[in-house]
Amino acid sequence: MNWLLDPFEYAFMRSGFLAVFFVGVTCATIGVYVVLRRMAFIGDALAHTVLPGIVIAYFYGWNLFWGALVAGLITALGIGWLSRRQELREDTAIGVLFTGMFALGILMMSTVRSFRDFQGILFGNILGITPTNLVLLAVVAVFVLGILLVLFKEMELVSYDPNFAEAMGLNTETLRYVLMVLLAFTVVSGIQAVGVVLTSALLITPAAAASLLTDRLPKMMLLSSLFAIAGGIVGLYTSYYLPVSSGAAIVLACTVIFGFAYALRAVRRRKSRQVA
Amino acid sequence: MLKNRLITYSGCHHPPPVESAPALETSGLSTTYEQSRVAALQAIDLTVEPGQRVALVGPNGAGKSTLLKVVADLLPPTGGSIRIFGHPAGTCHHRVSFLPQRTELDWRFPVNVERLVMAGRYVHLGWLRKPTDADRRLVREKIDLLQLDHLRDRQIGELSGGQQQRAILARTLVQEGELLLLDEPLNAVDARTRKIITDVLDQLRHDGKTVIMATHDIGRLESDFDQAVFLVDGRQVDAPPDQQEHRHFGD
Repeated sequence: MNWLLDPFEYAFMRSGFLAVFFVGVTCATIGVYVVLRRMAFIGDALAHTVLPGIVIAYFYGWNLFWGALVAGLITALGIGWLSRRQELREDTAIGVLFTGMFALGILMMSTVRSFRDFQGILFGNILGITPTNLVLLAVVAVFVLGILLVLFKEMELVSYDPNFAEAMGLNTETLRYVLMVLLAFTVVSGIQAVGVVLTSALLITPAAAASLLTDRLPKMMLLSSLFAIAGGIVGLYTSYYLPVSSGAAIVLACTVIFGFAYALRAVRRRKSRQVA
Repeated sequence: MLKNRLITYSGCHHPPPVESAPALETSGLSTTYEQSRVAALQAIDLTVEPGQRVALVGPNGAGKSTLLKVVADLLPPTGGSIRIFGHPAGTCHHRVSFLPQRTELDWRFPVNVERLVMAGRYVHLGWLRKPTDADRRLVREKIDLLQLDHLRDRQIGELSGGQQQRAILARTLVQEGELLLLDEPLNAVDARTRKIITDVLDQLRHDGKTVIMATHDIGRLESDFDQAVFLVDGRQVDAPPDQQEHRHFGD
């Protein structure tokens, strides 16, 4: 059993596990809405557009977290605004915006000689997480989950019947903005764990796996969180014992869990068909 | 606007109806969809007294749904005036129950029948408050009324079309509004559902509720409705729009 406990002797592994917990729960819970409302592309776009913000923060020596957050919030509101105007199809507008911003970020990065500093941003550096950022991850988790809990029945209704919600006096547009802003916060915390390139996997994969196994929304959020935490832990152990990137290991572990969920559902279906 | 919305959904801000005002009164009401230059509704003049049952009749795209959406405060009017129980649209959300077309919901969303129907109570609950036992009793009562009691825990995606239509009608009923806006509740449903829903509509009339209903079923206008509004291309016309339908109406 020593191989299970050994990693805990190191402070960086302990904070890694904690970080995985905070990030996993936040991404996986809001990820259920991302999957059910078909916002996967928006999640991916948000993760990529924060890059210039991070690079600017790096130039000025600020905490990268704040650079990412400001850029994420601007993007979230920008996407909301673009999709309201409807001059372009929403996915087209987002596609143009997000590749442009990402390219800008890469361009800015390439002007700096030590490209290596940015590797953590692109692919995540959960083992190098600072105590300050760990606290920030915890705050983001409490903030995002708290708001989702407070607005649960409204967010649920608006997601499947916006017209009826609006007829009862709920402002579906405002609730959409709220979700986008929460998503911006979530993405910024996801970047700490798996980086810009892979953050959308944490939003989508655990939630997609959970959606295959249950059709109750709260249970889906719980299962999704468990999957993300499990994937995070497996990924951390893998990167501890093998010389592999922790972010990629975490995402792959989540993908494997999705594979199991998919297989389990297929077995269940076959059984229920036999019973029928 | 935002403030207004926060208040109307607060669950406690319910202005009383204006004394002896009609349930709905529009004058020169027009609207245009944001993405379109063509008016979706033009100069609609309508007075509906409390307790009346009104049919909105017209071909697809004539403006039936649009008119219901303006009354339900989903679409802002671009011209004319509208009063609901004497108030502007959007102040009486608790008193106006809206039934959207079945196709407008995402039926794959993970929610069961009981929870879907409960959503009709949200306007009375408002932010943060959870349903009480009384809310739950009312929800069960309406689910039973629409003969969905055996499907209470069923996911909405597993229902048949007719069952889905009954489920959202139950949700509209638990809102306990005085003015019901029903968008084609009898469209493409099985015979059993048609019978159940027709009975519910008769009960509503008996209870003195005001009903405005978009319908294709022009054969029963005179027996079932106090007033019929014929729409063609967003305009009010005097007679049923189509020759074919005219004959039915004459019968």
